[in-house]
Amino acid sequence: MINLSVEDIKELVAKEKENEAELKKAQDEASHIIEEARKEAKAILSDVQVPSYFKTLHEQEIKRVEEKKSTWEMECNRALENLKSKAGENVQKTVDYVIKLIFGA
Amino acid sequence: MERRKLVEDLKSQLGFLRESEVKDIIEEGKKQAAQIIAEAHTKADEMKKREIEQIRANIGEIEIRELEAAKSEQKRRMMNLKIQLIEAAFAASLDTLKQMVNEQVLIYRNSLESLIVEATSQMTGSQFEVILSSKDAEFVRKKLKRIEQEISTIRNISITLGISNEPLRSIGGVVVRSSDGKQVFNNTLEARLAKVRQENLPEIAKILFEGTDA
Repeated sequence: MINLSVEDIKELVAKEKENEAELKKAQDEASHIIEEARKEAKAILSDVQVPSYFKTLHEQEIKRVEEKKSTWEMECNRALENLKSKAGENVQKTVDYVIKLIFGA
Repeated sequence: MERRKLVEDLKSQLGFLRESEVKDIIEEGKKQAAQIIAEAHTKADEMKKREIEQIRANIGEIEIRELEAAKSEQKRRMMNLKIQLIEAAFAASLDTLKQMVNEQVLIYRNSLESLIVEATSQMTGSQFEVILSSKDAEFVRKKLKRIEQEISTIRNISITLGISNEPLRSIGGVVVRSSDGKQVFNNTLEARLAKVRQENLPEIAKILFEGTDA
């Protein structure tokens, strides 16, 4: 059995304190690493970007449909004009038919 | 001397334990950090995937949605125009009728008799009065006896017709009323035009829109 002196005990306690400080430092460093990772994760999530190909595809599709719609509307306007014009040509024939029906001829 | 060695051993062990513990703490911190980053990447990939899927779905829907709306608008415009054109054709028919009445064209004058016959044939009783314009009354009065005979033959009873002094509130045609006032047959040109429209609109529209896809 070896008896430690007061000085020995003090030396060991000092060593233990030194250890505790080292551990605290390590914990702070670990927390810092985690905190940095969280910041990086936030940046990753806020920077989610759809590949430009899809955006371009979407824009192209909108443009294509707009063009198709515009062509379609032009055709429709032509159809309306044609209807108006033909009805103008046919109006006398229609009036004659209505008059014929009214007088039962 | 032994005591010194023991103290040094204890310090060394304490140092070893500390180093190991420090290493574990740092390792654990790095492990957690890596996991956070990996989860963020996984989540970011999912978000990106969802957005791409949404764009793909949207691309498919753009054409359907936009063109359906345009088609629907076109149908509405076409329908409105047809209604306007039909209204215009009937307005033109009414103008023609007014002109025929004003000019007392033969087809109109001759029709007055059949308008009276048609009205009385569908009424009961034997005494009627005819409401018509003063110009038409003058013409009909001359034929009144012949019309009475014609209706009497059709109805197989003796019919009496009179001409009312009441003015006709119409462009032309006749209104026939039983002497007791209980029956009225509106055979004015406006009434006939409305009847023709009601009964023959599909055929009339067919003639009006002949040569179109409508």
